[in-house]
Amino acid sequence: MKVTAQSTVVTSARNLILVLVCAIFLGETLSHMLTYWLSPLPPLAQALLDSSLLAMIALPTFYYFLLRPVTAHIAERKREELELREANLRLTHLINTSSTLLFSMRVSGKQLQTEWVSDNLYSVLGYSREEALHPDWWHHHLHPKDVERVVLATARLFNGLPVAVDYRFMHKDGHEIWVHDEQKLVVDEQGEPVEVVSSWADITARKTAEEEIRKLAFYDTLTQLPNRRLMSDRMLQMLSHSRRTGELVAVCMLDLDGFKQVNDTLGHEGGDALLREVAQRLRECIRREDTAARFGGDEFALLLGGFKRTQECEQMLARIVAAVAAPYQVCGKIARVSASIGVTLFPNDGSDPDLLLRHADHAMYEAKQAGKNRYQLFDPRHEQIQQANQGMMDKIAYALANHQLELFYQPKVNCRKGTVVGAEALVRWHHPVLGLVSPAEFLPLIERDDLIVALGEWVIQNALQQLSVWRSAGLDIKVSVNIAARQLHQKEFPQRLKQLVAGYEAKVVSRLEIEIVESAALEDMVTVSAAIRECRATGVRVSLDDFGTGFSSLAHLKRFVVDELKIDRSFIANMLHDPGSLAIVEGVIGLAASFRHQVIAEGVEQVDQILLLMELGCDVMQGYGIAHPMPAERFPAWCTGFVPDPLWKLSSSPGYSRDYFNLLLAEANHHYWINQAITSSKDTHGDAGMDELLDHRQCPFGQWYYRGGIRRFRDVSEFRALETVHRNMHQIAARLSEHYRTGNQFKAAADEAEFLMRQNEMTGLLRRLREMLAEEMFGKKPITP
Amino acid sequence: MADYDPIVWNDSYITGVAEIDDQHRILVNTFNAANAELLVNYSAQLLEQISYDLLSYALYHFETEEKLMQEYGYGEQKTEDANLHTQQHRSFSAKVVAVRDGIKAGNLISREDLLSFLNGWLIQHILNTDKQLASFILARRGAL
Repeated sequence: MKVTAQSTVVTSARNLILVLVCAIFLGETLSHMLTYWLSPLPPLAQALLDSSLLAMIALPTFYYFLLRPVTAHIAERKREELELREANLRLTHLINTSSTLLFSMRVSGKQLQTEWVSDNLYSVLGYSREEALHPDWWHHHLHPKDVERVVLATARLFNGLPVAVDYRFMHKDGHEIWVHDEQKLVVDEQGEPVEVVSSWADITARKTAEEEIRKLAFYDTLTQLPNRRLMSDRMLQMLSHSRRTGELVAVCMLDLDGFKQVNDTLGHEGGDALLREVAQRLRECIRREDTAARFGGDEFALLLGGFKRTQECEQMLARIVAAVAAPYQVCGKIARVSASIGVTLFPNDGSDPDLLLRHADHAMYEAKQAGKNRYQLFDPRHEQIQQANQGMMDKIAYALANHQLELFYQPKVNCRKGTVVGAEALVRWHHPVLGLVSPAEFLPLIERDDLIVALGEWVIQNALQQLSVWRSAGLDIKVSVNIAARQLHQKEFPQRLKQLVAGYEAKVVSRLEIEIVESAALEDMVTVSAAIRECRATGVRVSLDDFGTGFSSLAHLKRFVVDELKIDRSFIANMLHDPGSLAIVEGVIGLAASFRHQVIAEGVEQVDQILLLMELGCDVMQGYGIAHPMPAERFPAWCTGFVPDPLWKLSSSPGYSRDYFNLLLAEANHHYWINQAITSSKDTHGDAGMDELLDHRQCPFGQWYYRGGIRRFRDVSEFRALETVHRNMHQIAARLSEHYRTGNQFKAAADEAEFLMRQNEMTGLLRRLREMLAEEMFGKKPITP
Repeated sequence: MADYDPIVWNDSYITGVAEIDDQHRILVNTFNAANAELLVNYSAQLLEQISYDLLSYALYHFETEEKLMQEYGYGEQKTEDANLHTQQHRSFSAKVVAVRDGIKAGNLISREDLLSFLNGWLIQHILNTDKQLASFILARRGAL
């Protein structure tokens, strides 16, 4: 291309020269011909012709070599100027229509002074050029929170680095815009900074979008509260802050009570509106540094800090509970919800964030269980105890699977007939370290777990096996097993029982008895009464255990069609000195008779209890007073060697037994009276009835002594001695009452000691009387004076 | 100090055997929590829960201690102390069972009685019986 252009230039120049030479030649020729033809010309004409000829040669030369290049040069300059102006115009137009703002700032020392600003200033920022050129304009409208960042950026700029920085700037109309500022330092030849040029882009839209995305990622869209992710982030910050300051941090889980009803009655929109209002109330309750978050549904979380003491935190929680519980106006209706809050306190609970939330959640469930509309503090100790409980449960499961459990059998005896009628199977744990552990110590630990069901089935299997072994050895007795509430409440229990007894002959099955604790039966009457019917239909006997503790009504008893009632051991233990217990024992025996149930007493320890029970109409009993539970292999030998206590016969001989019974009653009543006397005299306001209590002829013992007693034992010296002791006790009781009234503790203590001494004396005398009765009854020695 | 004041854990309770001390601290905490809870909510249900935890924790803790006794031959070397020690364990469990029986029969143990039993047992057992065992164990550990 270059070559072609050059050759074109050369060609045109050659043509020009050719034309010029031709023109000159033609001119010369023409002038010579003219000179030849028109000879000689007048001098004037000759001069004219010569000058014309000269002009003909000189003018084109002048034009070509001087005029033409100069005009061409001028035209070029004109064109360039035009182009520049056009470009400038285009640029200005571009700048004015774009959102990018250009600045130029002159550097004077470390100060920057706006010197020039692009024309779109007004359209972008709303300020006039004059305003923008004011020295403080820029600083005054910069967002205070961004000043530091911008100053740092400018410092980098003077270190020679190009800088881009985002910051917020105030628009003339007061709204905030985000600016992306790219700055460049211009230096002179010596390298000294001269000016800073900067271009501003309005990135408000981008920033808003970014903020929106951030909100979506970290905030709950419905309530605008932080979500779980942001909460975890804030938790890390707050916990590390707390580690430095030692302040308490409360991590809380909050669940709304009754939210479902609001949703059901007011619809989802109503529910959403309520959630927003709850969020707003939470925001208002907490400090700026705290966090309220929504995890979804009606589940919120709170992160509260800055507490010195637990009480401060509790006050705040109480405020939050109250705030949430206040009525809501939703969709024109009044709605009510409340909050159940679970709280764990860091650093008391030094777990990691996830575990803290789980602990708070755990406490929240406890708050729900405790009745809702409250907060519940998590107790880290609780966790340790739970672990211990679980540990024990595992050990018991291991024990069951590894033959560490064994059934012991406690004989049940008919004391009137003097025969062994059965045994209660009681599980014992051969603990590898602790030795033999009684069921009362470990069964409660598995009562609420399915392990108790497995254990129950194991007991039934073993008892059945033992029954059939004993039966083939000629030992025909009943064996009872204890069935826990949990097992009994399972619908499939009767079916399981049928499967368990399936392999055994009917005679063996009919000797099996299940004991159901009365209170367990009452927990689920429908299931249990059905289970009782089905068990009996299978041929298994049913006994209501611990009877008297479960507050059965007569109507209940009608529904539980059982074979036997077992009087609870606590009443047996107290019947000799507590008329209330005695009344219950009498009542249960009467109930059993009315409903045609058999009755048995457990926990008998003394012969007096046995005799009294027989007198009341309960002949079958078990307890340490007869025999301790024993391993199965010792049981047959025990039965063979069993000899009934001769004293038991007392009950069968009418005359004597009545006397003996009355003696027991007199003693029981007097025990009761003593307790009453001491309690009443300590109560200084309760003088009413004291006189009656202090009259030795009016007390229950006195009534027996001066009526039935005196008729039977008139001549016995021990009986006569009783009168002095008894009267003495009443005198002491009167004195005691006086001492308590006057507040004389010292004398009261002395009298109380004497009182107890007399009581022992009296018990001794009564016991001696009973011994005499027994001796007389067996014909050894009549009672004589 | 009344029997039903909280037990403030102090160095005098430390036996020096870490596994025993950790568990003692939990027992003491259990006592303190029972104390505080019973003050505001004295009920059969709470007593039942407390006795349940005690039963469970006692078995757990006694097993730890008695295992250590076996490991270090406490029974062989200090038969009387070992017997007394295990006897105290058994009587603790028996008492807790009695408390549970009482609850079942409607005879709730009073807060004061329960706390004074626990307080007395804990302090006595830790300060005397367990410290004897611990010093024996530490001596044996030192000798090994």
